[in-house]
Amino acid sequence: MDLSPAMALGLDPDRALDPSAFGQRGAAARRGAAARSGRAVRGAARGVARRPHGGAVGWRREPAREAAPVAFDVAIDLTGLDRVIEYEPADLTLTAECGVTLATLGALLAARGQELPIEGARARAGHARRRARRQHLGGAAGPVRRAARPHPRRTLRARRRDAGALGRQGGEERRGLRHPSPGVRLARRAHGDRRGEPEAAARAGQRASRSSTISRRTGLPTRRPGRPSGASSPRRSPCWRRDAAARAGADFAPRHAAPGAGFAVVVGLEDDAAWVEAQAERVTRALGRPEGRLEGDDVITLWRRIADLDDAPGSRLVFTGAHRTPAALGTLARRASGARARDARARRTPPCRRRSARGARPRRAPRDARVHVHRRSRHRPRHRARVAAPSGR
Amino acid sequence: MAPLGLYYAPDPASQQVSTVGGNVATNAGGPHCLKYGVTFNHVLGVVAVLHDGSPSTLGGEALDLPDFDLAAVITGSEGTLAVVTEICVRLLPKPEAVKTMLFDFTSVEAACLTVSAVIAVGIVPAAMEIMDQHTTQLIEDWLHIGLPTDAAAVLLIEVDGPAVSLPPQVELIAAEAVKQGSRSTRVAKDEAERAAIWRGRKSAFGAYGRTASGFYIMDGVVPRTRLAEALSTVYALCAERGLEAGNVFHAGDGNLHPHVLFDARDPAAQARALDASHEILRMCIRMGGTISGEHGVGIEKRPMMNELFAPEDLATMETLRRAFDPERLLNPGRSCPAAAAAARPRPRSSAG
Repeated sequence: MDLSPAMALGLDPDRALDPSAFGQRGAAARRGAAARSGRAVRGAARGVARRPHGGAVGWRREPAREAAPVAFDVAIDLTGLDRVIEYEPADLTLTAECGVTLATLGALLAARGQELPIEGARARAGHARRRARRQHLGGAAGPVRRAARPHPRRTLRARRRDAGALGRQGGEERRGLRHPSPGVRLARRAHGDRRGEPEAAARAGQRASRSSTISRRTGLPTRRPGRPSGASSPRRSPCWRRDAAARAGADFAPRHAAPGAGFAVVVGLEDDAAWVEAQAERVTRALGRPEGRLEGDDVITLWRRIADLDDAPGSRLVFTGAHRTPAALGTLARRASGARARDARARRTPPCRRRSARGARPRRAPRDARVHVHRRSRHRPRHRARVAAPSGR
Repeated sequence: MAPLGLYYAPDPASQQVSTVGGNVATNAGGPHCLKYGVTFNHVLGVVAVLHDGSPSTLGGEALDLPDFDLAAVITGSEGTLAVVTEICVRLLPKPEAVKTMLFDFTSVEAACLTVSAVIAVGIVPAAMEIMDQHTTQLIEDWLHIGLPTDAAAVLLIEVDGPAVSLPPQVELIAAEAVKQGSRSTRVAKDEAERAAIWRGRKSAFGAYGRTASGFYIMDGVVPRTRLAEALSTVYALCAERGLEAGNVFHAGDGNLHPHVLFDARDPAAQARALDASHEILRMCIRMGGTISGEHGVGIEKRPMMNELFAPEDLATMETLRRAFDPERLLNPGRSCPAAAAAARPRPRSSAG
């Protein structure tokens, strides 16, 4: 094991790990406190490339995904930073180190009837691969319920200054000074304060499959599902293709989904129990009798499964508020059909003629629909005539 | 947006005259940002003109753009990083129903404790505003909207959402308020009454302007759980200097707006008011708060940045500013204190 870069930084060799386990040559991953992380980061001034690393998700798979692993000298293992520093339920704020898992946070908050509305991939307790907070902040992972909840990077409140850390930005106050560099993504490796939320009194998830397809001309369903009145409030309504949904939950997601047969709509409701029931009835009136229904914590489990799908390569998921569903589904359908065509072409190509990952331009993975939405957004005339867009009608 | 059933959530009291660009520059808030967040939470993307005149599109309409979230960096930068020319904001569907409540208390402390108690039971109202007796009296003298002028503090709470979910919330909030000593509960019966209550709240600054020859409005933040302590300190700091103070503020998120009243014709009184205001901001910092809740830093509070942030933190901000504007030509003299500029370039440590 080559520890010379680490030794050059004066790091503790007893804490070094075998870099070969991570599929990297010349890498030394090590656990450590913020001070040690700070030293390693400062080592970049000497030309040492460093790579922050957290809950092991994606680490081992990454070289397989990339045509050529990106070289670096030292991996800074941040999983040792696993303390909850401060939790003030009355202020709805929590400060934790970056290596704390969402499962830990969830258990802590649940005891006080609060929650962090993020369903990170593999966040559930006991999973072999842990997803830590840093990955959510660093990767800005989005929760399934992000249509209604703030995005993680917009719920981040502060990074506390600690020995060797980058510095404090932001604050716990909701109106904290954001000035002039909130550094939401630029200084994200230290602690983060997040705002917990009171937990919902009731949850329900309903699934309805639509046999209709999407019009490629208009981007709307040919038999338009009624818009549930839940659309009048920022409730979340994740939607995804059947093949992806089928992997989300065997007993809930639609089975025997034929490609192109249609799409599934899952409406998630959470809030006051009476409201949830009233909205569920409206959803049923609009979409028909649900083919599946989940309640309580099972809904959270489903969100987590969906979040796992979001993390999987090639999944085609769209998370959207109900008021944006038709337009989002139109985009989804167009991308899905394109991806299917590419997949079919790839299957027809003999293995001997396929490009290898080494020494050739890597074959671009099919973009998921969400990426496509981004690209459309980037190239369309910006920020104009968006008045009619939210309803998609 | 109203005909489409949509609205833009941040609602600063100056919304009749303030522009969306100014709101982005200062990261403006408003009463309802307790539940919905400040401008920063609603800006999806901006088109900004950089220091060299080139336009740049930062952020966008999608929820999860794989960028550095530079739109968030721009928000609240007071024009020191770029000139924002177009803004894409997130719109929300109008809530199905709204309930506005008014509680009166015999002490400001009791009103503040009610705020924390309501949040603690699991309700995040759309807005929670407190007006002290001084403010209430001025507004009532002006508008005659039936505010209880004998109350030491009036607490305005608004909840919104699906109609079926509001009555239980109203009951729970009222119970908490009574538990903390509220003398009466007034729930707006209709939209007209609700509008009148809000007109009173949003006219507070104007009411002060009608009576005082000079008043200095502060903008600081303290943790919500320390509101009562903060207000007592504000009154004491002003009294020590022979000044009068009124308070009307966004209690739900601890955003204080003390009004320090003084005789504008007396330079000594003006100096005392300025001194009191700086002490109030120092108090906010000591309590773990900050020196701006929604109005930015600008010029006046610029020196206080040195007290709020460590030199290393200011240097980090300055590094970012230099990345956008190497010559510091955009809106010079704002927000970043001169000390930060002096601290840049930040020497890299060679320690291993």
